[in-house]
Amino acid sequence: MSLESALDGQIVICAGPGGVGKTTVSAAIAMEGALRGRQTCVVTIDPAKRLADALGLEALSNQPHRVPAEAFEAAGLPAAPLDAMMLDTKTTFDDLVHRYAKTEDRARSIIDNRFYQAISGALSGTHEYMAMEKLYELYWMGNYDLIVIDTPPTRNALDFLDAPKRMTSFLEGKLLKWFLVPAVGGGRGVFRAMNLAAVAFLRVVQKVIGAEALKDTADFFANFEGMYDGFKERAQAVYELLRQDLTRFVVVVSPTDQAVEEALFLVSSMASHHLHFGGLVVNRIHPRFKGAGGEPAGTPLGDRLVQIAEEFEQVRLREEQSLKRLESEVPSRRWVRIPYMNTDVANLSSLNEVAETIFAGSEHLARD
Amino acid sequence: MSLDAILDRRLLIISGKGGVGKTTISAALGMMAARHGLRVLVAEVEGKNAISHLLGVPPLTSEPREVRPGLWAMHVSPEEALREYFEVQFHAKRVARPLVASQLVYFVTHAAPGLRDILMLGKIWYQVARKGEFDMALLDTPAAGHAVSMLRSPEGFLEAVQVGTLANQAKRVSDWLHDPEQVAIHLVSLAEETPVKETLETARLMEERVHMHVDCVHMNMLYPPFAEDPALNAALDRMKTPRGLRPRAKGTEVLSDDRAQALFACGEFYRDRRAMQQEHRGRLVEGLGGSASVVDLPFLFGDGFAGKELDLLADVIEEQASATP
Repeated sequence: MSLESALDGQIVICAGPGGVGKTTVSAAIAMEGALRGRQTCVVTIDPAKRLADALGLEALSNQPHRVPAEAFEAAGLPAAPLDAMMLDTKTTFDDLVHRYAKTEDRARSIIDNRFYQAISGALSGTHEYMAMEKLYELYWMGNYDLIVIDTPPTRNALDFLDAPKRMTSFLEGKLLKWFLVPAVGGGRGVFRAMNLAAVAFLRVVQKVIGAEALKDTADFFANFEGMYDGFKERAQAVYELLRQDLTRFVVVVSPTDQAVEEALFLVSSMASHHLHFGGLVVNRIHPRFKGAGGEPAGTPLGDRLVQIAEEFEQVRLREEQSLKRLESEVPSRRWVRIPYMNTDVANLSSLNEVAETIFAGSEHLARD
Repeated sequence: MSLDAILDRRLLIISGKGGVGKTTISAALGMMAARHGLRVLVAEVEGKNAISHLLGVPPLTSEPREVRPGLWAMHVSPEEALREYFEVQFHAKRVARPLVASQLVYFVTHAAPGLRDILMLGKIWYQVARKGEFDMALLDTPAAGHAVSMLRSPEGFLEAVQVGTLANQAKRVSDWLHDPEQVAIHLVSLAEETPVKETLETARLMEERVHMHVDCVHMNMLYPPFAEDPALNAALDRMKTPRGLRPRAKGTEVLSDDRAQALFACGEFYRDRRAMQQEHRGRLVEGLGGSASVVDLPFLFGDGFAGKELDLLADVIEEQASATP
């Protein structure tokens, strides 16, 4: 009943449905790593304000920052080598364009392109792609013993895994290039006649989305020419990094049917992709008040509490029922349960409480 | 928010952060409207299939299907919508079929800003406003951030493209969305830090970027009040040790230490979480500044049977809406 094996690796990726507390769990795992003396970085996607404040995070920097020693001190903990950052998808994508563009001009014209602006922020899969891209960058910087990554809430559980591949095949735009060429000279419109069907189709498309949008698209792919190989190689390298021995996937879930459904899918696709499973965290469980129910307690307050306790017990049983289907997929020694806390995670000491629950029973090497 | 303010709209857009219960609230609102004799359509957009799960029916398609008496459901995807659009606009079955099969649709629907979203909104507009098959539709949107860009898409498109068939379409959809008599936005939130923050942020963005007003916030999963009796509530607030739970009068059965401890822990947990929820709820109400009404929805204890829960939530929404003139 511990997540110990997740910390054996160098990279921990926390995945799971939206609204289950992935960010908090990621931060807690990173904190544990750092308290054990490992140079650690946690990449968060959209932390709650109090958690962000607790980690000393500021938006828009897109680079890791050291969590101040005073924050650890205030929590009664020794200062630990913990860095944290908030992922900025757009900036990460821009950086990537700058990295692979042949010239600065070309990078500029891509970044100014309206089609690029539309896809770099909004295209489904972009967030996932950029989270993995950031992971790769941090990994190769070589400054960290442990990198913990929070993943964006995805509609399809393993989007973050396929995202780099899907994005590169999109950017390659084979089919589209077949239709479009850069608008050279002008006068003949934005497309050349490869065949009549294509032209007929493009006429309709142009009518629908307008000539300008079509031109933006053509320009984008023209400018992207030549950068594609770099992107593709990198996507492949990211994919290999995700599958290597020292990368561990932690699935975070909450005890509802819907979340369990998504987690099951996630666990089984991880197995088929040969990813290394690092454990299951069930977050936001109603606690058990053993022996509280039953006969009236003899005072009005006590009697009402007996009712409340019995209602909570019903909820707890419902939650256990939802979790049942995960039991056959994940052996119980890989499970960790985190009950609802009485307070929000607003500082490092409450984050440490979460970490202690996750790693209960583990040997706290650096802490002793 | 009066009951009429809900039932008189042609489209309710339901949005909120992931995991707050958008689909549940969409279905409950839909069931409530259907009870009043309306023909109601619940639409979910690309990638989700939560409604069919919730109601225990086979996965939805782009063709509306009756899933409960008076309640229809459909799934909207941009690819399907584009195909239908071509068919209706250009009577072009021949062009459309191979298109859908090919990767091209993917590019086309990504080529212009927000085109995918316009197509999905257009489909709903077509089904409700144009064909008039339904009295009311509910749109169960994906995460809140997407809802903003989705609703912004017709205006955004019109800024870039002023002429053409799709521009006309975008204009019609945009006008429809901006008619408060026809369309309303409802947000769903939990009384927790991040959902409240995101709800306020979404309400602000809807106002500033989309020029649409959020009518109502459904505060989901609130722990119910401890007791009606103020003395009992005060007793809970005063509770400091397990000892305090012991009956004082002689002759009453004495609570064991363990049980007193368990009841105390339960009381503390309930008290702290309820206080936390009320604090976050307060932040929401304050942040909204009266611009939207708040519907309080209870955390449902019990066995979790979806049909029963939806009926219960529909009751609560109706009750609170009816209490407002």
